Amino acid sequence: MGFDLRLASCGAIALAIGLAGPAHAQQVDYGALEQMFGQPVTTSATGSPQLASQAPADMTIVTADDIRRSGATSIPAILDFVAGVDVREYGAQASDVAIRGFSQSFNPRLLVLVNGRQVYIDDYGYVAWQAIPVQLSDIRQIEVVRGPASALFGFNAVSGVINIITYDPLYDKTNVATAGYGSDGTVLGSLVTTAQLPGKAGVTVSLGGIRTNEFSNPGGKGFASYAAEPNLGNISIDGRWKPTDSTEVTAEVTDSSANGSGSLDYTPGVSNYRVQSAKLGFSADTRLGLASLQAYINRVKSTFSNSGSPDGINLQNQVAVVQASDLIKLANVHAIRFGLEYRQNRGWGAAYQATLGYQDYAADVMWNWQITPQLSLTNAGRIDHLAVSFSGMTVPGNPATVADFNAATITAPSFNSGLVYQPDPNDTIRALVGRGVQAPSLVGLGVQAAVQQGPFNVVLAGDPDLKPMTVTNYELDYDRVLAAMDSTVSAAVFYQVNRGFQLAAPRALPSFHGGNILLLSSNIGNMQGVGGELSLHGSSPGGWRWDLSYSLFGAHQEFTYRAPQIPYDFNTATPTSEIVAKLGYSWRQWEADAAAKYQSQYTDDRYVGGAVQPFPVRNFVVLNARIGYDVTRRLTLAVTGDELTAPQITETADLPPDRRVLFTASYGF
Amino acid sequence: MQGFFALVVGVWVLLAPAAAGAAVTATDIQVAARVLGFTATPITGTVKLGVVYDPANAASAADEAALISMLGSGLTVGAVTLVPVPVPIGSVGSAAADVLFLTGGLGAGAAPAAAAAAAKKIMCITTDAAANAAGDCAVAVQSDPAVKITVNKAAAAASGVSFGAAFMMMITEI
Repeated sequence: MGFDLRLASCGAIALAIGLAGPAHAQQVDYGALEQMFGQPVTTSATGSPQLASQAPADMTIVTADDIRRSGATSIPAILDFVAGVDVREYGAQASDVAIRGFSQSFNPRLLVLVNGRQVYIDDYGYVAWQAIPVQLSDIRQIEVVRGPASALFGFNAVSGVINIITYDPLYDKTNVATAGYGSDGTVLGSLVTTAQLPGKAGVTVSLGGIRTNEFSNPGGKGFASYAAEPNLGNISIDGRWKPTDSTEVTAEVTDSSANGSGSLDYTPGVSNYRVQSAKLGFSADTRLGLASLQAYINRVKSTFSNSGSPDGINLQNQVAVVQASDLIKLANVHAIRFGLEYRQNRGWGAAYQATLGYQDYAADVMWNWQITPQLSLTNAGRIDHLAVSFSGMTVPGNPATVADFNAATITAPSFNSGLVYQPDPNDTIRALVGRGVQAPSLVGLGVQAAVQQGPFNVVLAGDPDLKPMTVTNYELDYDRVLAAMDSTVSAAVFYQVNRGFQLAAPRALPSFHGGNILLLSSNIGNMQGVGGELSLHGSSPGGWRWDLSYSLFGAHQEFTYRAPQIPYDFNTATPTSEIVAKLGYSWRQWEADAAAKYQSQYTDDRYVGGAVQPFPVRNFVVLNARIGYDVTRRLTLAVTGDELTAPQITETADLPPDRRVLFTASYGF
Repeated sequence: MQGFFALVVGVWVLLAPAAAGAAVTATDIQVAARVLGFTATPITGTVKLGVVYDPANAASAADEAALISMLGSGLTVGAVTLVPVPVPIGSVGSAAADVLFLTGGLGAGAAPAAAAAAAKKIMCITTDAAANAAGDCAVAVQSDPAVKITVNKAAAAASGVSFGAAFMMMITEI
């Protein structure tokens, strides 16, 4: 499973680009830039550092203060109160997150990264949030981009991108230990510590874990299998070194395990994950711009089991990525970024009966033109060329041959374009259009399985000709700073066209083929989405802070067929309305915060007993609250209550979350 | 309906920010200090900040007095401690300073500051956008109503000052 020659060659070429020209200056120091400009800085819109308020993207930045005041113990729990984000809590440590509708179990539409390294898992195409190796106290900010961003990030950034940025051990010294104990047997602990020669070298070690009881299993819902005590643990070691003022070396290794229950592609069951990664990067500030080279490898072992498959489904996925880029400013007003990427993706395990994968070669360019001090235009384009590779044997009954698999290719362009107009420092208008590409999952491309059901041999077959889904988004945004109210009001409206929805084999339409019942992965149709977000947020010098938002979404789908085993009815699967209200107050050593969310009804699904059962979820309101007290400058005690409006709230077709209380102590050193 | 529009316009005007003042503010100083950390070789530690002023110019002298008061015996911002050194414009050529801060309102009289910065290969910072545009000072900072940093490339090159690529992406170059 090592890197092949082409990967090494690509790395060598990238290295050559990265080292071109003499070096001067430094890389992105988020903290110092934020302190200088008085607002968060992001690179998630264009790959170039920008003030979040000026970025050509609809973006929310969740800060470290927001995270602490939420009292949350997971990233999805934080995102649940962000406008336009739909979180489905399928278990105590199992959630799916969607942006702007089309919510689904094992959501493949959202790319998630930690410091630029994807944590998206390509086998089914989803994010195992519980296996992300990050401690919340090590997060500087979570950047939530609504809308496609494939031109910068590549495949699967179709509904949006979430980029989790941790503190930089070169510049930020993070030393904090946290312990917690709560209802339902919840126990948690985390430690983040940094050793540092400021500005020269630093390493941060973060580790932690949580164990809790699964949500109560109410009678009559027929949950056959779930994990009684979900638990997770992970460690991350992040090192950065500046050999000179103008060069920087980064190295990171992570290891994570998570065991829990939840909805596994709509099937209630138990999941076990082991996720490991290693990353190495080099950047140099040169006369030809900021050149960067990054390589990383993610390896995922996952097991899913349920009452219908007690022995479990074992999947392994490894993705190796090499990325090179150069960011340069020309003629004072043009910022241009060139990028190359090589991606080698492999999946193996019983589900494939082979090793299936692809190699992807991509090139991208971004051009940001500051036309006038008030007006900027950003255009970005990317082209991906993907070649499928398959070694092993196809399952008898699969109409595709090994040769068909090895001849399969996909060439997919993506783009983003944005016009940002700031007539004055308080008003920002954005007109955005983007096209994102969702690659076929490895399971969709190449699953190979056969099961005997009665007299029939049922063949589950991946299709090497499965097409990527494309998402085209048209959007208009408006932000206004209301200085007299210490607030900012933001509004966004969008229209989205999704073409080529992919149905992986396990959910595909059955047909008779060669005497077998064939379930073949296929593209089954298109969807459109329309909606918007309206929000007001701010804080006062007196210690108050507030955030009020309304999200509206409507969907229309045009699938070529509907069948009982297909759970995806997007006309009803996303709540139409969500209202979030947050209020907080700080006074001396005290912090008090409350967050409420109203979600309108929608229809979830469960795959039980060989058929999909639609499950209507009624309107509900959740209320979370936290009170924190700084006992000393270093020690903070806090109590957090989740789901305070009822003992249990039915939010999905799976286990309903319990009301929970958690006590935590955090010590900074 | 007209009443409704009048109400909307009225609220809009009410919520609009007040015009920015021109005098050097504490936030300007904070921004200026942060800028020093983004040079090719970051400027850190104790920095003698030569506050360049014209005793005969009321606006400039007022700026100088305000700056000396704000900086006191030394102001620490991030990794930098700014220690003020009053420098009359007439003696800027012999000033013992690591960085120059050009007070406002000098007009054409600021030229000696540019010459001194070029001769000593040190950075000049100002809140006077006109002086920056004229090439008399390499960096202009503004903090109200929003932070804005402008680098005069010719003046910066003349004084041997360069910045990292990430920083240059976020500022205005002239």
